[in-house]
Amino acid sequence: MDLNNSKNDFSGLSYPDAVNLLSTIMESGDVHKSLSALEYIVTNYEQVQDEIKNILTDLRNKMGVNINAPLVEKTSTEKLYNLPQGEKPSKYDFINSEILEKNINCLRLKFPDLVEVILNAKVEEKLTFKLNQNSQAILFYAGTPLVNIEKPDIAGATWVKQNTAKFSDNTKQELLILGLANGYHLNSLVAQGFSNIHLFESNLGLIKAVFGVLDCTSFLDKLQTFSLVVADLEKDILKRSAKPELLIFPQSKLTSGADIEEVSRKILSEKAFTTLHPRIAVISPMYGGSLPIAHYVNTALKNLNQRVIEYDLSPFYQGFKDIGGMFKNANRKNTIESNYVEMLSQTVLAAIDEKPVDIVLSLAQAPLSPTVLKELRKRGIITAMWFVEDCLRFDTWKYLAQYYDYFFIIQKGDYLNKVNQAGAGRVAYVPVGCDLSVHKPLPDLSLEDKRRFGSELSFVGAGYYNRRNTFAVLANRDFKIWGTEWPSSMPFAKFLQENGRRISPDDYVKIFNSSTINLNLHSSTDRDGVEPNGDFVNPRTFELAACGAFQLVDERTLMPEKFKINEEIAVFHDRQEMLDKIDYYLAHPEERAKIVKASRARVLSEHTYEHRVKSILEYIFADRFNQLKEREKSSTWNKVLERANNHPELKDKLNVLYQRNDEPVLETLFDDIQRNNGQLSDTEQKILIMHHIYSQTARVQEILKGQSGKK
Amino acid sequence: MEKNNRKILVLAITRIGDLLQASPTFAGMKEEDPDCEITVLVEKQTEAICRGIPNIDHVHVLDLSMLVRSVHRGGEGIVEGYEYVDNMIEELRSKGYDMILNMSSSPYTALMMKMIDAPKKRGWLADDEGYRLITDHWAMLIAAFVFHSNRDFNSINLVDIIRCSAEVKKHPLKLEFVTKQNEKEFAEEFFTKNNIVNDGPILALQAGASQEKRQWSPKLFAKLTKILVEELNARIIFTGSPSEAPIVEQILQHYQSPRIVSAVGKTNLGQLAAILEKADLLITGDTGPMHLSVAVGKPVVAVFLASALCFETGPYSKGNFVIQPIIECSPCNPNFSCYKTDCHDHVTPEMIAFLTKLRLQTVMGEESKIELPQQLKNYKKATIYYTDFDEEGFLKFIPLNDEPNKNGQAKEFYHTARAAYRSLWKEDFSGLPFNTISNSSEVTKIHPWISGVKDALNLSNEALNYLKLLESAVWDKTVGAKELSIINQQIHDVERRIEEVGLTNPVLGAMIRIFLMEKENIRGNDIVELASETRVVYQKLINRAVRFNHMFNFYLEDKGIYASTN
Repeated sequence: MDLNNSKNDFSGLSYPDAVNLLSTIMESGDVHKSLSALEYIVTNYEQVQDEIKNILTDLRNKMGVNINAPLVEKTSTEKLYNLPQGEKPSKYDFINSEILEKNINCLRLKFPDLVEVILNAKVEEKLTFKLNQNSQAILFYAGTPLVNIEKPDIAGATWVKQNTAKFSDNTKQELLILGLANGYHLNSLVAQGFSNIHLFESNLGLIKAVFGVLDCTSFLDKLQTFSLVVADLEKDILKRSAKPELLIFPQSKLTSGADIEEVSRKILSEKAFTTLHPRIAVISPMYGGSLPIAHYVNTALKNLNQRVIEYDLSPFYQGFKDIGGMFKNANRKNTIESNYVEMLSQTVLAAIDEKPVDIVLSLAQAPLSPTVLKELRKRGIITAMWFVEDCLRFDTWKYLAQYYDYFFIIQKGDYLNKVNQAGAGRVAYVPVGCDLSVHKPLPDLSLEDKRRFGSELSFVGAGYYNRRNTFAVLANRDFKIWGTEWPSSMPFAKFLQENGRRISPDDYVKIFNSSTINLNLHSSTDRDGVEPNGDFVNPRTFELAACGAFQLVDERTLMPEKFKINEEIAVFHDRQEMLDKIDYYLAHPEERAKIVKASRARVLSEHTYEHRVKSILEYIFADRFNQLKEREKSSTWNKVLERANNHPELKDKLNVLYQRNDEPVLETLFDDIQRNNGQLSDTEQKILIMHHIYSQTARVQEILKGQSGKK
Repeated sequence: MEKNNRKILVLAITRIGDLLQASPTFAGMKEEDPDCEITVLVEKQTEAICRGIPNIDHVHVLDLSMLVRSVHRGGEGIVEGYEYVDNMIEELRSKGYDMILNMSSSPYTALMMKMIDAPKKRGWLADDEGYRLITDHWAMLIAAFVFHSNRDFNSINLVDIIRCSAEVKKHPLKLEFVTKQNEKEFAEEFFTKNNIVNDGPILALQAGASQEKRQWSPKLFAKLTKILVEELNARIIFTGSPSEAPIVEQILQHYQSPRIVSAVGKTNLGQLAAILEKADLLITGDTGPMHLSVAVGKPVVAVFLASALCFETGPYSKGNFVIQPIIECSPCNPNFSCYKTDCHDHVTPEMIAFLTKLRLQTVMGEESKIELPQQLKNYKKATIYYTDFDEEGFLKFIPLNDEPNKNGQAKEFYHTARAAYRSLWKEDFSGLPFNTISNSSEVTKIHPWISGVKDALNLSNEALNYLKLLESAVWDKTVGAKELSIINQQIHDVERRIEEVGLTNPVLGAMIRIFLMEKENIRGNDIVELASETRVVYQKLINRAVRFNHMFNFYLEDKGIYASTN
């Protein structure tokens, strides 16, 4: 059974919609898929009653024997063609040209730009067709009907009733429908009086097929907008502060799942951003490249008004090193180091128990052990990992993935599946970025700093094999290398600055700002130079761009989606090209300036850590909206704030603590009052009375314990 | 304000003993204004005692335990606690009190005082920013003696300070507690049941104390009991709360007799008062039962150990005997534990037994005729006092033995300083006459024991000069902000140096602490007004220093020091 598939199909659906989709799947006769869908619903929807869960258990037991039986494939022979006379049946010729033309004419009047796109669309082979007993057109996707086969119109009407119940007396309600499916639900919507409708459907072939079998003119006529790509929605509807009500037609998940999911994710998460206030713990590693990223993530979360607490574990690195340094025996050393990491892990857990959170976001190499991750899950905490490392070379994800509900990686392609198969709840691509408060142009850099940090060519980073191999040819250049692990032999002895010390972010921003060309070569321990088909883009790329510094970087497969090559970023693919481009760009400062400007504009609008963190939260919020809401509802804070409803000023003060992710304790409330000098309000005086009583009794308790006398 | 039909609120979030200590104030208020209406705000646990204190019209209870639980719980407890405080404040506000007296020195009652409107407020207050504000001199005196090093120089009892703070002059010269009929019946039955008959003196013994260091050893108590039973043929009743039962058990392990009965843990406050009322005398430390005993009219022999100081909280009625050990560390700081209670050994069972016998044999009011045996008269490790009242109705402690030297100071030093302060405060804060000393502001002679007076006077005069300079500089347009700021800084420096004088001369500590409090009370933005008010405060310090010096010299030369004012 593929629960992951069900997860994708059902993601974001309300309970009635999920049941609706389940019944459609069941109608298709696909027992395995039905069971998988039922499993998913029982696991993920709280509304499911116990008897249904029991039925599922029975069913599971009964089906145990047949669970591996081969799937019954629907074949094209089941199609019932309804072709214009004289026309020879072909694979997709169920399209009725008359109906199509009628719909297209209507479309032309409303949305002329879409006509050609839709007419030229290719209908997927998975899309098939038949007429039901009432001669109503039914479309199938990979054998699953896109609507109830027997009564598609009634099913559409029922869906509309169920989903518009809360505003049934307001047919002017603006609606965004995700998914055309078979189109019946849209006709029903119009039939029930709704007229302020937006439609999103990204499967162009499906649109063409529906336009070819069903008269869509009634709803086309009422459509306010008809979007085919997510970007169109982002330009308009998703930007609005007052968004239309979102309705997802469940079967559309089959035909246009990924896009629908993206839109629903964006809308749901946006709702979450305004209505939920989960507490998020960011867990840093003790050391390494992801350590500063943990700080950037913390800043970004704060900038996004999230309630965040950062567990910075870097101060424990010295202890880790010192303990390791006490042993020569590798096994003993490993055991002690593991114990140290487990101790840190348990410390984080204890800290979280003391100051509870809803989401734990770990950065790669964060010392959270499986034991602790399991404990976090037991406490209902959502666990997320942003693995900002190369999945190829750092394979800790292989055993860690299963303990995380969310696993965000900086690579695409196979890794998404592999990490998923390793057991991560959900895997998504989230590249690294930059922090504009750190990575920024420094126009007022002193002459002394410019002299110290500046050069024609520079490189900041560790001396990986491919970098040594590539940069050796720059022996006769004004080239400065900053960073660790470089050989002391020539020419590096000449390049290496300040004894190869570790460079702080503040210093490397100065270097970026005072170098004419910043070289950026992604590291490799096994390649001679540029890694062919190297995929992820390193943080340095975004950081340099944000600093308004010119960089020459090896092109990565994922780079073109981040920067327009040669317009927003200058790249090279091998050593010779690097040398050529160094000469070229040194000779063309105006080109450098142009690229720098475009590059910085692009990172500002798309590649900051705020964008990344928002993206991470979108995934979590969209999936876990109800869970987080429930958690928030049952949280101490919610009870406190609710109880404070009759005391507005007290509530405001408590809200400040809440937003700051502080605990609802009197001392913190008092500290806030103390910080604000000046005349005390009536409420503040009452709080102060409580605090004096609190401290006096705390002191009395201390004296009674005899502790005070020992001071 | 006229004393007529006043509605008075007394914030009495204190211990049982403190509430009893306010009883003369309540009585005085009623005597001076019979139609006044007295409401006391008390903590739930002390509510019961109010039933026996006469003259209280209403009791408003603060459930401190509930509030403490709420605030410590956090979360919803914060709102719960807030609502409780909110309701309480609003209810008290709605009563429209004419006067509020704060008996406590806790910051939260000071805030409560601030929050409830009343034309007259006495005791500790808070300002708009929540900081302490004490405008009433008698309350300042309490605050001054909170500083531990100042305690040795006070001889005005807390009962009188509370009373004066409430501006009460007439009072019954004793604490008051009235036992109810059912409580008397309980005592009667207790006596009958335990066969406590009048075949010898009936003595109550309170062995427990509020702090471990203030509790005399059970072994010594046992020895005392033995003497009392065997030499005085006394009947002994041990009193105390249930938590004090183990102490009495230990005493009884050392000495048992059919003439000893334990009422420990068997009585409520009223019943205990009724038992004390039926007994002849109570032997005790500085405890709640001590106050209860004098409140029901029975004398005490009280031992003031460790942090207890008889001048502050001694038994408030005529004719009690008090033993105050003399040791360098006495009285010690109540906030610290003691691991070596040497002061306990300064008091002997024989001494207490003797004083008990003496008290029982001496006609009340003839204590001044008492002549101690030579051995006790020359005893150097403790001072034995009896209590009496001076002409103005202030409690005084008169030593029966020769006072020993303490802390390397001549024996006269502490008594003289206490007597000088006593007169100074009465004259300064209540306007009571003290005609025996000239009103000259000239300093003729400064005794070397109080040489800090000279520094205080010099510095105050220096400050007055700066203040004059500041006032004229404000009007002089040629003087810039920088110069004004320099003068201001110089005034601050002088103030800091005066504070140092108080710290380095403990005998002047209270006077200078009061000066600093008066300075703290000066608020505002107008430099001229501030300077003018500051001058008044410095002038007061000068006057007090001069008067203190006069009085110190007077008492040092006066042989009738105890008989007259101390």
